[in-house]
Amino acid sequence: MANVLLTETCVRSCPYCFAKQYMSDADIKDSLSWDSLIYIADFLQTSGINHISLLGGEPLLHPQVAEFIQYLNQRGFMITVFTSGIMPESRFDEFCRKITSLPNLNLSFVVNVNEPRLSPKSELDKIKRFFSVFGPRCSLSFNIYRTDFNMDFTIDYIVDFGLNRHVRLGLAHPIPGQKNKYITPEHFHIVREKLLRVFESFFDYGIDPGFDCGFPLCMFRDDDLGKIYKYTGGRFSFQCGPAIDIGTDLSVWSCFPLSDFHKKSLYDFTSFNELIDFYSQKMNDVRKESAGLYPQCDYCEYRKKELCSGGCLAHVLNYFLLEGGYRNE
Amino acid sequence: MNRILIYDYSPEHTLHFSGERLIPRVTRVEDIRPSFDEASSNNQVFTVWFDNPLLSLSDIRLDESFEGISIVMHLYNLGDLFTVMSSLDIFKRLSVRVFVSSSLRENFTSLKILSSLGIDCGLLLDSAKIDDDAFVDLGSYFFLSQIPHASIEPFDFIWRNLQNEKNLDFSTVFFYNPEKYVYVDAEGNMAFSSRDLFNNSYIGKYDPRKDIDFETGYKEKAARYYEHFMTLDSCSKCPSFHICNRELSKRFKNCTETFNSIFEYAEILDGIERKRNNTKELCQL
Repeated sequence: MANVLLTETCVRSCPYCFAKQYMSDADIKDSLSWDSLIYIADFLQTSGINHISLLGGEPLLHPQVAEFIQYLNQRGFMITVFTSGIMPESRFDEFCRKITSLPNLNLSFVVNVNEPRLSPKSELDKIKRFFSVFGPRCSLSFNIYRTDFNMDFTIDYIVDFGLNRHVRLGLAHPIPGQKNKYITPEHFHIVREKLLRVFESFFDYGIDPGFDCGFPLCMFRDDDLGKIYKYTGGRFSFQCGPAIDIGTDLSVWSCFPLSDFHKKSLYDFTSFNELIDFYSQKMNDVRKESAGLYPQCDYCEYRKKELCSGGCLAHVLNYFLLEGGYRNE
Repeated sequence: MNRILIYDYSPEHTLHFSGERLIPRVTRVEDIRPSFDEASSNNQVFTVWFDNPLLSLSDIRLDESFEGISIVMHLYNLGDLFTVMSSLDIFKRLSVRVFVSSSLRENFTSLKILSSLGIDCGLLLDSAKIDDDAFVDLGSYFFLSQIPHASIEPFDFIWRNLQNEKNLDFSTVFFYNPEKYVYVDAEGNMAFSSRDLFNNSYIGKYDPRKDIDFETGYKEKAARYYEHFMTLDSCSKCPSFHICNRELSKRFKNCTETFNSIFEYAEILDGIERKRNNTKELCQL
């Protein structure tokens, strides 16, 4: 699956945002063109990829987002839109009218939510309005960037609006050289304790938690892993690898936290596999020097057995940056 | 009989053709079916030509009643894309080719959209100046994209005829070819083009008992072809002459480079065995 940016602007300014660096100089004019979308669709289909993720910025800000979804659907893609669910009033009605009129639509939304206590009311109203129309197509995404997080509200959203019973959990990672908020490894144990409590609540409501990349295996104890296995039905991993993001100008990079790490152009590659291989190799090169979050990652048996990648590579690159800029060249 | 007669359909004036190959030209959607029914009663209908350069594709409502009719549409643009894509299922079932004007830059992209969605289409070379880069880009999409897609004229014509003819005059795609098409007005006057008909430059009167004189048109064409080499200008030395035929030299900023690229792409494609996703019956323009 490839992540395609439709816009480089967002309606929010989340303190943990891992796309912050990429978004900083962007303008709504810097949105994906039809020609680029067709090129990407051809590129992915040639590579045998039939699942595409649309993201941003805020992808729903793209003036032709409904047409893009309709087009990709006609091309046979499964489409996942990563969104905040926040749209201007004027655009929302038109978007709803168009999307709900489409038959046989293979579309889902992953709605990234922040805690209500930390969000303006106007945002919350818009998110609820989005859920009221698209609820059954939506699942939630929550990024952990502070240790006092509370996820109870996610259960309310899921129950009240009939959302999919799956929540994507992300650990906020550092962007090398930037000042976003993230969880440092020394605070992982606090996150662990709270997550296990969240998982218990989720289990009562039949909600599956899903780990995004970058969680290290050693963050959890052996008995935790048994519980997590039951809570997630065994669908969890501790990997960090290339996600492949494609920018509005067809630049490509491994993932947002690594958006400055060997950035290339889609035109440099002939297939998606070639892209994956390129970034896997580059990430492996770094991990040969420093395997993961902790010094002991270098010798970790679980990493050698590929049960864990050693956490998010952005942490490693961040250490390198502290040691000297030349390390990241 | 080789001739294909093109005439403006009018419900009021019925031309009594019989045993001919016909192209009724209409400007209203509601005339497509009756023009076809009338023409096909005693003749073979090559295609129905819907020619309305003021309309957008999204303004046109087609339905199952048009099944079995080959339709070529000459339009301004696609119009509202969401509406067009919502009608794709019916477009895929019908035998339709959609041509849009080259006067709009966005139309080059629209053709990529249509082609990639399996709708046969084409670019009308109807503007005084055509964007070289957009034209080459569209050509590269047609010839080099590895994903199966529907035809885009005139590139498909070039590709289909690359090995067959020395002279690839693709004006035939736009219903101008003195060796193939004859325009007939309501009085039975005949000309080799719509413009000639309008200017009263007739080649004769339609008579079902007589074959049409193609000799004149052919001679004119041949003379033009050979005169080309006598004129010492950039066209006479242009390696892509057999694609352009001097017809388009003033429309492109750098026509030699443009058509060299198209010719190269066509040759690359010719060397590649390709699968097309389109097996529909279409009139061979």
